Amino acid sequence: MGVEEKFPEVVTARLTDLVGWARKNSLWPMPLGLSCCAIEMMATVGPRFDLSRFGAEVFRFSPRQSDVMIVAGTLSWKMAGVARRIYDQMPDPKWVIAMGVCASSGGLYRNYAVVPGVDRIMPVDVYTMGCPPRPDTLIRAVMELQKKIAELAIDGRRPREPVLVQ
Amino acid sequence: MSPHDATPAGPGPGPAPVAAGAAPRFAAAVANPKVLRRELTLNERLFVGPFVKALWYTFTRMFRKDITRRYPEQKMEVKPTLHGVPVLVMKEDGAPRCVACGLCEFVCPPRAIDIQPGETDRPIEREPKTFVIDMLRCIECSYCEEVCPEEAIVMSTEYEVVGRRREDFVWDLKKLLKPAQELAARIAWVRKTYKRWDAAAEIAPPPGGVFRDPRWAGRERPVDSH
Amino acid sequence: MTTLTERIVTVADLPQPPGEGDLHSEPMELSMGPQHPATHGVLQCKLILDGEKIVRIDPVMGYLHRGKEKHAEHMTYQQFFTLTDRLDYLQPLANEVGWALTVEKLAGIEVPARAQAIRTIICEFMRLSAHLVWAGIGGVDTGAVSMFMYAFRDREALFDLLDELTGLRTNQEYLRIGGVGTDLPAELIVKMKAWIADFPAHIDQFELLLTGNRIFHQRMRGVGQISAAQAIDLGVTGPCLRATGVGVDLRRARPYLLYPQLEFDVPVGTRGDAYDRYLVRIEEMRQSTRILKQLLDQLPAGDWIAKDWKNVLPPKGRVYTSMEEMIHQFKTVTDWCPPKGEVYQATEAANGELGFYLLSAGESHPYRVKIRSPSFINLQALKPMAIGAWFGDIVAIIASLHFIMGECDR
Ligand code: SF4
Ligand code: SF4
Ligand code: SF4
Repeated sequence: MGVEEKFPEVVTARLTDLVGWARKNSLWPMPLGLSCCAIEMMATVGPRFDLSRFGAEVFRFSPRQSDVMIVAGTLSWKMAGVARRIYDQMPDPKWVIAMGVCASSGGLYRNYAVVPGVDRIMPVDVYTMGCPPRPDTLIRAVMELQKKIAELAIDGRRPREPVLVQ
Repeated sequence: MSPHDATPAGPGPGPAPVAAGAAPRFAAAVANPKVLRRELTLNERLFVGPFVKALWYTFTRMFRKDITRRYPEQKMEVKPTLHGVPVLVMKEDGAPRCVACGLCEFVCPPRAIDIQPGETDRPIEREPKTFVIDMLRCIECSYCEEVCPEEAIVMSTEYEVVGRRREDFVWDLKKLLKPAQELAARIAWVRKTYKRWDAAAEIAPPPGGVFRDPRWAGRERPVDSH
Repeated sequence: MTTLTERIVTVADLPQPPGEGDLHSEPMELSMGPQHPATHGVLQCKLILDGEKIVRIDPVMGYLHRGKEKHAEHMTYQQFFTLTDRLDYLQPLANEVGWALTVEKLAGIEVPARAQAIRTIICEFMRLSAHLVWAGIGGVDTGAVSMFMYAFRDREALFDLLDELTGLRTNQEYLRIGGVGTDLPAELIVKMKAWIADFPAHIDQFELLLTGNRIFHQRMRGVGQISAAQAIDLGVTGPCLRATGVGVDLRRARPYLLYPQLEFDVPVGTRGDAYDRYLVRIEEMRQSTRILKQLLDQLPAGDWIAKDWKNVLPPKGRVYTSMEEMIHQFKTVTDWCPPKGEVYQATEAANGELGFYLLSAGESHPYRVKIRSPSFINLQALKPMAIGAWFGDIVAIIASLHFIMGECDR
């Protein structure tokens, strides 16, 4: 008769699960508000959508205190170096949400000035469609990221070993 | 012609200069502007009264009904005007209604659409061999819907598209094609709106969702007299 | 073999502590931005400080340059609406109105009365939307954090109305050359009226929280003051100019749309400081509701897009059935060419004079578009306002100037 029969979920949960659970419910975003999408990002924090229901309302303007960067807006080549430096300053594990078509692919701007997708300069975990995405879509992206974090190993960047199902 | 000549620099109603320093250069300044500015009252300078009032205001908000929409459970009310992602309308036989005319490809501001036309043996000969919309380019502007001469591309009600890989956002025919019944509300809206000033141009929606002009009943494709 | 030299260190060799007379430090260089919550987007300010005093400020822009003017040369006139939306993204539709008026002036298109009224309505809604964001963000910048919640509460209600009209929350590609995209339905007019009836009470609440608050008052009063002559020399327009006492409003000075027929006051300030700019914006919100009330009560009936077969897409029902209209549709979409010429059209946007200069070579694309963006020109006033001010005031100055970098860098 083991403990796991009495408290099956609690005690026998793997440490990885616990860490993943804690991480995904306390995301501290670093809002890289560059342009129009930033306004919708503010609306997401605002009263109607209230991102704090997902534990992600603590917007930190210092990269050192945050673990998910929301790139909201058009990234120009002039800004690209700055954005990369901000990303480098964030402590691991860190994730990136590309909000809006501009951040995801350059969107409307196929020209000399705009980076065609922030994945040129940093790894992106979740892409979001829309110009700007509705706050609903951003919340969905946060949920998708939470799902992804729960699937990660304890170091935060590597997916867990696949579980073999017989 | 200098740019400023082109604007009708006519004086507004009641032109008269206001601020003395600015008068000569702005003859068109409004006659009686509303001057704002007041000093703080004694009560306000003592600070406590208004401060408590403002705190009280915020405090009372706590007992109001909140306006938060709890998103994943409580979705937004979908109206036919909503611009979701653009999708293609499927005919009854499963083929796209699109004839690969390329007009949407031309008009799309971010150039999100890519069409390769092909030929078929059916009465409507042209159809797209590949039809790709890059959803990470699309800005949901609905221009493609407005210009399509076949009512083949409409905005759907799907608006929350997220993903982890960029490839997932490149939608091809398989993903884009939606049966006309699903899009009926939007198609009706398109018909109503884009008839513009011409009430006579309204044609009753055909049964089954596939467009067929009553004047050309029995023929697959209207052959115009010109 | 090395020789060791011995030297006695004396007090004179130590670095000298500062004497009584020279307590002030060296000028300090400080870079604020481009990622800074108070710079409203991506503006970098290179500051040189003497203690807490600003002795020099150099704004560095271009972090949001998106090449819009160049882009315009490759886009049709209709497509360029998508880029004007994203100029001042707090008021996308007002920018669209500016571009539509420019193109229509060039092509000489008559816009029906109802379309003009709808355009005026959305212009005023956009002014409200921009000022609401300003009130929210300006409140946060000066320490009144709850203002953000109240301002966005009202803005969400406003967005619900626009969402229902256009299908998108922001950056609605709603205007068409010759009119608007869809009609304003009757049930929406009822909802708009209800919103407008509520809204003045909400402005009173904003004022309760800010205007009479002594902290806010001291934070804003006398900060970033410029004179009327200085503002005119710099080309400042909009609320920032009116705060200095110059009652210039393009809605009155060079009327467009239905503004000549409408009753509204132009608020002006007296001193041109941040507090005046705040008061002017709050009063403009009141005037906008007044305008909206007048418009919604007497919205003219009729077409919402010009009945103009040469310039507007033909009715869709006919496109499906008739070859002529089909060809017309193709021709209008791909090859709509206004005549050769150049025009300049300015409108009063929330931040000031938003002008489009358009040079057409008679092709389907503009030959050159120059955008006179109010934010860019108002930004120049940052220098005279900030020099000599305290470092803590710079946030209040930026908040009250309220430039939008999307419009500034274009
Ligand atoms: S995706 Fe659209 S809304 Fe977002 S920054 Fe780009 S242009 Fe602006
Ligand atoms: S909605 Fe606009 S951006 Fe999207 S595919 Fe259609 S035309 Fe292109
Ligand atoms: S405009 Fe319509 S018919 Fe023409 S290619 Fe596009 S979807 Fe097909």
